[in-house]
Amino acid sequence: MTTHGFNGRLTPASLLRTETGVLFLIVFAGLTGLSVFTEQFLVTFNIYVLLYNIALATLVAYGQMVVVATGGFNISLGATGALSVVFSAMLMEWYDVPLPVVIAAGLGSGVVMGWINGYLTVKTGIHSFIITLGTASAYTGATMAITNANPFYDIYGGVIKWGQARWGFWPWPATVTVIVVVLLALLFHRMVLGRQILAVGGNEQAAQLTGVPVKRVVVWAHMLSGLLAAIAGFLTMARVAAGAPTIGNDWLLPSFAAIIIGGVVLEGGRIAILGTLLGVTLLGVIGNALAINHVNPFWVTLLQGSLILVAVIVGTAVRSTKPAPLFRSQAATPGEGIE
Amino acid sequence: MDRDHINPPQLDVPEQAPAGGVATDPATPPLLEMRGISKAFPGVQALDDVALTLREGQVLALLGENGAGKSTVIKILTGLYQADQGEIYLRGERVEFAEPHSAIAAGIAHVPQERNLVPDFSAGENIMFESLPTTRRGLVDYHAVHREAQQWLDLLKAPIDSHTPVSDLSVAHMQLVEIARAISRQGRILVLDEPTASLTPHETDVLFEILRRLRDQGVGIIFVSHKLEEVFELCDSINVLRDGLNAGPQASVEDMDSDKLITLMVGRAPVKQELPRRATEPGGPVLELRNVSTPAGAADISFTLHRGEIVGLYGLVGAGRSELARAIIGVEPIAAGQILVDGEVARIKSPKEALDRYRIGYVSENRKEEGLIQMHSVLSNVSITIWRKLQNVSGFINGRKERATVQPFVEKLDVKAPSLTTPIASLSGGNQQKVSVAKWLAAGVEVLIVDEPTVGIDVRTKANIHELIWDLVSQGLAIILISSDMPEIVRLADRILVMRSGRIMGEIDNDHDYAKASERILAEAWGARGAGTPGPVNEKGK
Repeated sequence: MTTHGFNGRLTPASLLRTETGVLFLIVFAGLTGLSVFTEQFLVTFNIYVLLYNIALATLVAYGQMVVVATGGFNISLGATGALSVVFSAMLMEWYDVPLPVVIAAGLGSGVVMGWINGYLTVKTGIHSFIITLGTASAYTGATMAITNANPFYDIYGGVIKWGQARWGFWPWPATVTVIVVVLLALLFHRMVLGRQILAVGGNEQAAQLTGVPVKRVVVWAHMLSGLLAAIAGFLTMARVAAGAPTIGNDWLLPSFAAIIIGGVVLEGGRIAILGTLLGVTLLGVIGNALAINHVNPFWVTLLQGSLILVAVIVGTAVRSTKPAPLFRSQAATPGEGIE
Repeated sequence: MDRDHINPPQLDVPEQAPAGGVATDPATPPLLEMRGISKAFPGVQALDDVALTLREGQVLALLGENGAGKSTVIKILTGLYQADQGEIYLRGERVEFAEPHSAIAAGIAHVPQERNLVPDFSAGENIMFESLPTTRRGLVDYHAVHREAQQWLDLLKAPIDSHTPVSDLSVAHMQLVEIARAISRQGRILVLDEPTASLTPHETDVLFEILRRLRDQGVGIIFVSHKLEEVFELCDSINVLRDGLNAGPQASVEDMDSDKLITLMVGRAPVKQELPRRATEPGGPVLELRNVSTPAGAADISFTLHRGEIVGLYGLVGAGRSELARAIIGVEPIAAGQILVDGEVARIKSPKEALDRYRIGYVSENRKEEGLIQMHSVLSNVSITIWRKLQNVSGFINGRKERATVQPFVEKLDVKAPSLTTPIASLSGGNQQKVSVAKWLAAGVEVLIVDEPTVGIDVRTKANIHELIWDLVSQGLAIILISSDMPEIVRLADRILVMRSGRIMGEIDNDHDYAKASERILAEAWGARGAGTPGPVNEKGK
């Protein structure tokens, strides 16, 4: 399931040979350390909060990853999440629409916003960074216009109840993330669309000349991204029991941080499903450790920024030690998008 | 970096050059000597105890197959890499180049194989980049830049305006700008890494003439080429590398012939040059072009391609061949005319349609940029054309079936890769080329357009690829071979269409007699009247 080419056997040595493996060991060491040295860490409620944070942040990070896989960016990730939340909350508070319709409309609005991003990107040929920077502003504007910057509080009781439901330390909504992980793994490993997304990101020209419908694939990736943002938004709404227009404000940086730490190549063509999950976990655990030790939350932001830099620098260094055109020494080469 | 910008550039070597003569006295230390050079990369000994000597006024050919270590030697000489062991001497003095800048300062000018120009800058700015002349106020003196750059370009007889942005130049003209830049540095050593790969024969002649003049003034030249004809035409001395070692002592060109050279390069006697006669005669027509014109410049192109036939498209770079190929597979539009596949009019709007509906594939001349996904595996680079076919009813690709489908093609084409999951980037150029062919074979194409299949590929692999193409047509594939490598096209093609300025100038029924065919091809390519001047060439690259 990893994207880094474990070839079968999983041993401590093989773990150290892959970026994901190293990341796993770091996260594992961190968790062990925290469990041993901090009393408040291995508390059911703390684990519940941590898992919930990780589950939401993972959806957001995947929302970024699927577009980055094509070589693009989605700056409007948070704005998409917010507008879809506000849209579903509005349907509940103002129109009393049945829940299934609310969910469909909320997620559908995310898909539509993703489609707009993708369509504008392929039609204009402008980089999605600029396009989504613009649409981010537009979506946020719509959010604010609908809500007047005030949250909707009339969320259906069932939704709130589901959002708070837990089974010991396991938040029920986190199950959605588990399903998404599995579906994304299937998409990128075993389905034509996922492979084509990676092919476009790996080399757009080559993909096109080989018969990949590049534009359609890019639009699909953006739609998928919009959908993931909307799912993350809906779960957040269920958790905080409010359709807040501020949902998604703090998604962008962590989304990049997690995928970069996880080993996703920003130029496209290589994703890391497990790596991203580990990246999110690492950020979550660090944030949690600082929080239970009462560290000023602003330091968390500083740490997050530093972590991104370290991840990029280390990742680049690891890749550049490999002689490009030589034939041997394959064992150490990180795999590619889909193995 | 001070240079006198008032004098027009001349092929004068600024310092210490022996006046008008070549130093032949073996007692004087050679211009350049590399001794015991070793260099390892993780897992690979790229060079092991390599020696090289270059004297003043000498043209030294540095030869070897891809991966033999030529590029590494050059990168060490030009300061891009540092040797693990070994010494470099310039006129007997030990030097160390920690970075390219110090090599340049020591008078080593380099025309790299990979183009190294700033696309948005003008040709002139690129040529003068290292030492832009300035006005008294400290601003760049663009008059002087373009005046001097233009003189270097004129010297190369390059029909390029110094003000033209490099991005608007054709590949061949970019190469000329690169050469002009190296010559303008007026170094004592000039290193050229496959400088002629994209040049026309005429441009090559002009280049060689200039190189000979530089040689006569005492410049030492290191020349890397895969074209043995050029080596014998230009070079005085030959140094062959094989697997990171000197394949033998550096030798004078008189003591060499091409068989000996190939033996040295590949470590065994050369492969037989003749291809077997094909058993089958060409069959029925598969692809027909009727008066096809494209906005990109192809005009009124008509020809028919039959099953089991190789039609060669010969022409200079910019003659419109690749543009025509791209129009056939639907990347570029067609302005007028018709394409018929199996006798029926086909409107091909995208490569996807070309593949799915008409079974036409295109092997690009640009393996890196357009051909393969370098970071992805051999497996997915081959199976990309058949993913849709490999999925079952629920939309999933069966990984086992995928491997089982790809493996035979990888074996049949003899792709040398440790495993199917090896990234393309770590394969040699020849093996990459085989993968680009394999993906189309896996897709079951009936027509394959092969664009410059052996550019930058060494002698042995070239022969392999030729045999491969030959096998494919024997099995009934129809191939359009685009090539500016004349021996290649004469060797392989059944018919040769000569293109110039987007038009077909003539058709030659090829009987594989090189002397006869090449003469006719050149006559058509240059135009029957014009001697020596290549026709108007599309300025714009692809």
